[in-house]
Amino acid sequence: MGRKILVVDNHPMVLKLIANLLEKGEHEVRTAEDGLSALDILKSYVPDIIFVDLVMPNISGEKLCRIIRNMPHLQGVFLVILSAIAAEEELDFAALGADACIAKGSMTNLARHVARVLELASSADGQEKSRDILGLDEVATREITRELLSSRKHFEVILRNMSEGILEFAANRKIIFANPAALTLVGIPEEMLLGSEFTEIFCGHSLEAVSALLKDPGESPKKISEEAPVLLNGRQVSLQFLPVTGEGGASTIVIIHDVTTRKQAEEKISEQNKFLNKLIESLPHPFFVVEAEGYRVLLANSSAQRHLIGLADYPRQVPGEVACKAPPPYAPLDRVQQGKDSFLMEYVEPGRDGQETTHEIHAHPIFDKKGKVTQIIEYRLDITERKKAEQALRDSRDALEKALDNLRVAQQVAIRQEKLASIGTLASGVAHEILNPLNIIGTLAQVMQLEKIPASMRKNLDEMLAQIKRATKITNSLRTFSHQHAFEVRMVDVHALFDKTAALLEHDLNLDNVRVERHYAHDLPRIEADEDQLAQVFLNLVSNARDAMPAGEKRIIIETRAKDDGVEIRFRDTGIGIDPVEVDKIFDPFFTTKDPGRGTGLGLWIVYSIIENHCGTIRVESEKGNGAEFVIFLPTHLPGRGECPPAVEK
Amino acid sequence: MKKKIKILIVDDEYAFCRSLKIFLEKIGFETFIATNGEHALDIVREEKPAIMTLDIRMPGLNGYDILQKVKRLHPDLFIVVVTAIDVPNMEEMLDHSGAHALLHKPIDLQKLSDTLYGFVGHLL
Repeated sequence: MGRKILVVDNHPMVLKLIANLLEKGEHEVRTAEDGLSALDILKSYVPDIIFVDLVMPNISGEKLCRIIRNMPHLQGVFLVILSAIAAEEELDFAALGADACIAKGSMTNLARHVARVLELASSADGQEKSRDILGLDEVATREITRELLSSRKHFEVILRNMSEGILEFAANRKIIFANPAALTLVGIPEEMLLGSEFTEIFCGHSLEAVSALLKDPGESPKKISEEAPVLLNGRQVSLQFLPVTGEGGASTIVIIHDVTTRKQAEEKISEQNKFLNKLIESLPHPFFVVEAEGYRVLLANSSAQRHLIGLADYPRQVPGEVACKAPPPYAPLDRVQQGKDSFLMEYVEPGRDGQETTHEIHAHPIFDKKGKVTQIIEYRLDITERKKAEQALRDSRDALEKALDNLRVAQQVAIRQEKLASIGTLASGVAHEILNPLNIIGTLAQVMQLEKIPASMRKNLDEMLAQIKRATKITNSLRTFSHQHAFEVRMVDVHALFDKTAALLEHDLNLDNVRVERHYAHDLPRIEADEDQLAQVFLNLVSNARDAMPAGEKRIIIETRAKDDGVEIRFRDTGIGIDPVEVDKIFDPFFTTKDPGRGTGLGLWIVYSIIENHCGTIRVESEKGNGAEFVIFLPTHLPGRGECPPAVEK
Repeated sequence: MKKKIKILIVDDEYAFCRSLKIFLEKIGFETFIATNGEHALDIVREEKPAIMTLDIRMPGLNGYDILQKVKRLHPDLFIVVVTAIDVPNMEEMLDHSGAHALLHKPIDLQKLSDTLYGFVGHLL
């Protein structure tokens, strides 16, 4: 009974020999010169026995065996391997799914072994299957073949383990090889992939791109680059086509590189870049990055480009162009290197139109691994308006404070004046009520003195009158400032007024051996003052000075000096001075150090009140036992009422 | 006997009036006392004194009122103001009102007699 047999061998002689041999045995024989042709045939033809040459171009015998064994409709076929390298390669044909193996030796032996195989195939279920390679003992080992096989094994290991996919297709575009990486990438089982059209593994645009590329008759190495990858089974891949001319005709090896992850990473980076660009672009103020050396602008938002280009110096350039020549005047590199940290500074930009603008400059260094500053991130905030607002705020605060001070002073003055006025009113009333009884007593005493009375009584009456005079003096002093008389301001020559006043006291002063020295400033201006009141001040100070000099050197020194907006008058005496603990009290009413009956304690209080009325100041400098000096300042022009500071300088 | 010169003493303090009266009579004047303005004007009308001492601050008619009225009744009356009030320019003010002299309380009787004798000499 004839069998259906397929013989696959790339050697035409072998093919013909076996075919003839089998046809003589009345078998139905089909032949194929390579694996691809065999697979084509096997699509429609189911043989009983297949002879497969082990060493073939394109698809090897080994691979063909595996493919056949993976085809369900060929499960029952009796598979025979014809090996020309059986002596050199220890082949476990059963592992390849083969039922028998013949070592290719002489034609005679081959015929014998083929016959033997047919016998084996005939035996039911291949029970007599031989584990031995038929004719192995008839072939000799060839060293060169062994070496080549060993080398091939190395390459196979490499190919199997490469992460790049390696595909090979024949001149007719049929795929004849795929390494495991390629199989994974393509996602089609090897037995289906081998023999199929290479371009068919792609679809859509990728198919078009690959087809167009392959049609291109150009000689240059063809490739699908990483920049424009194609889609393969959902992955982005680059392809490199390497033409190979070999035994089985021209073929092409394709190296498939999966760039999906990288592309995704790149896309992510690109998205992040876009995001960052948007971010810095959204900043309304200039933001830029410069190289530390040379200040080349690496990155700048449009605000930086718009506002800083064309300004005095920095940064003049848009990103990518050559750096500005001079580093900026605030030297960000020096600063970040000094501080090894970010810095924040205010910078006043002169501006071309003379309009100064104030900027807050933030600079952050970027360091390399060695800690050297490589780049500087800078951004600027225009704080001109803020500065103006701050200044305005400060100014208005100052103005308010000043106003408040003035108000406080005015209030103090008003309070004091009111107090003074009410004391005055009271004093005036009291004085009148006291003077009337004093008047009656005094009159009666004088009337009594007209009588013939004993000398002792006359003496008593004299004492009474003296005491009445004393009481009168105090009472009159007390009401001096209750006088509601008009404050008569005229331009007063201080020197002339003092001379006139001193003349009134000249007689007394001479009697007491008091010398008055005058150190008048030649340029002393006239001042606005009430002449009578000022004369009162001089009178009180001179008589006080005289009283303070009971013995020793008796000198009163008056010294005048022109000041910015007024005059300074200094009264110095060589008297007993003022006890430091009493300095603060000397301007208080009724304070006196004179013996009872000598002083009213009102003289300096009156002086103080008058100076105050003139918006002047008075202070005293004294050392106990070393004289006293009163320093008076009087303004040239009297301000309005209520605008004077307190008269006493502490 | 020579007729004494009449002096009217005007002051709301009767004690003062009385003590002044003792003094003035002692130095030879005929005295009248008035302790308010109306009374003073009545005496001026009836007695026609040559001299008047006048207090300024008094209840009812005060010294200034009396000055004005009395000037119309008796323009030649010699008036000495005797007051405890001491305000600036008072002398000018009184001069303007027709007073002839100003003396402050407590009064110095020597000064008063000097003033009066000065006037009496002029009168004689």
